[in-house]
Amino acid sequence: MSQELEKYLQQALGKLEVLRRKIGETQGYNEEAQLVRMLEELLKEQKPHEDTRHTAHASR
Amino acid sequence: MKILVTQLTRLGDIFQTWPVLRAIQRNHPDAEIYFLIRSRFAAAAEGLEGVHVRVIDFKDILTPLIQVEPAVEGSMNRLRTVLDELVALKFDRVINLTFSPFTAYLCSWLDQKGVGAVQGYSRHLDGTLKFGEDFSKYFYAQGGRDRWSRIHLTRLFAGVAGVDLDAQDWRPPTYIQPGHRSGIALQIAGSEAHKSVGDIVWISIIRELRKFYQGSIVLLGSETEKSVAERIENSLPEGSVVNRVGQTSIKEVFQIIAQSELAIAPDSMGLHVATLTQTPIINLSAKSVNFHETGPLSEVSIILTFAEDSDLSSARVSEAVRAILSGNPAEFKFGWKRRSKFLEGPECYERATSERPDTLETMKDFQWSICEGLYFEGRLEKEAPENFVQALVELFEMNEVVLDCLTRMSEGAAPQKFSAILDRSDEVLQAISQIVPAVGPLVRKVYSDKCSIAPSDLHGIIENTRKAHEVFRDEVNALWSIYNKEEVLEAP
Repeated sequence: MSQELEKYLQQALGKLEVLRRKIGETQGYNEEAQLVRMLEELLKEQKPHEDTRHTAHASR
Repeated sequence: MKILVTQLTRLGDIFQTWPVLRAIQRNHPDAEIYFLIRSRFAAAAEGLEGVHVRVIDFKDILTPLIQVEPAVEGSMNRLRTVLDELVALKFDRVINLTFSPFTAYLCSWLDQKGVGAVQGYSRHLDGTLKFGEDFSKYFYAQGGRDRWSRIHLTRLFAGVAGVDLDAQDWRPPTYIQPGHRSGIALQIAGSEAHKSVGDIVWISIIRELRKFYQGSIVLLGSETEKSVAERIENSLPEGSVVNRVGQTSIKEVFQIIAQSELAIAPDSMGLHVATLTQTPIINLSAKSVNFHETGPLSEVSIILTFAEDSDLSSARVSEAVRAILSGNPAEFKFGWKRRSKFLEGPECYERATSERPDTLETMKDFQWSICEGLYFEGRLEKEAPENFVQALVELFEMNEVVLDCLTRMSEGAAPQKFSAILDRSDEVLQAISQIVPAVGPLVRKVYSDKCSIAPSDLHGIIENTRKAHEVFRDEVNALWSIYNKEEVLEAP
């Protein structure tokens, strides 16, 4: 994975985490929070391989 | 009835799902079956009869996010569109065969939108993991890389889907016509670097094969493996191999392997293609791979494990090739072999008599036997590893502390007093299983039992947690009495 892409992934994950916390504090676990969690998990699956081939078994 | 089957991992898992889709079709002949896979692996569903293939494009969803200025809203909108399209299809059942956090959220979303009940990973209304049935809970506890489960993924998927498999469920795509088999297909690389075999080993194996084999030897692989294939080809006398690496579609790989009399492959697409086409196979399996879960299921399968390339002697591979080509694979005395009956028992392979397991494998044998005892009323190993009984005593003592806390909480004591102890107790159980890996299956089981407790009021959660720890105590006790050959443990 290129360092640049890794930087972008990390940055996006950071932004989503902040947003998730904000939603959690103000609205609880609602639809928006679920969408954010889905995007977070999708991003995490990209991290080990640039080509998105990360097997899901390793992380739950 | 409409059934959605999700398989959002990679090629190997998609191919290992094919027999399950066919079993679902057999069990529900009138059902409309939708198969959800990632767009980049759409070709892996070609030739799969009777299912509607739906694709999901992760790259498209994530593109707005992976920018200098991440646009969260853009990705959320794209994801919502994908979800809305799935909801609009109004499924009656969802079978999630992907053991991933993402699909657990996705299926939970569908569940909340009134789409049918979910089998497999999903989520409770508070976002915690929910197991739709016992097989996904079993996998969560005991399966996956570096664990000890010996249930093949295809059979586990069938368990999640609630269907029985039949030998006829393993068959090639519709575009493959049965015909005469000749030649040997070699898939030169694994699906990940650590599963692969070095070019030096392949050169040595091919040289050995050429001493007695006159048929064609075809090299298969992806575009990224072209340089390796060229090194192999250039190191051998001209005409030794037919190099098709980087030049084949999935369809062509199926055609080549289906027409071969033998395939040799590490953990890779070629292995799963061999299984679906019932091509005899020698699987070169890296130690990091749990071949019990993802290995070949061709009727004739030999598995040679290796930690280093030097473990794979070309003479040994050649001997396996000779055994298979002569029609006597049972004569091969090394490695693991596929059991004779297609669906016999949870363990699909048996170790050949001359294979001497190393320390790690001996440990996994024991851990698997504990699994068999806990889940399948199976046999236990006669001898326990060192410190196993002592570790059971420590687990028991820690568990008694937990049970005491939970009893007091259920009797009205303030939970805050005990929360720190309970939090620490999970860490202690985990630490014991790291020091003495033989107790890993026990600790993983109680952990998964607690994970599967549904959200409720505090009293309900305390009671269900207590029940999980009581079961754990009984299991620890039973194993202790077997291996210590005495009565039951006393609370300290």
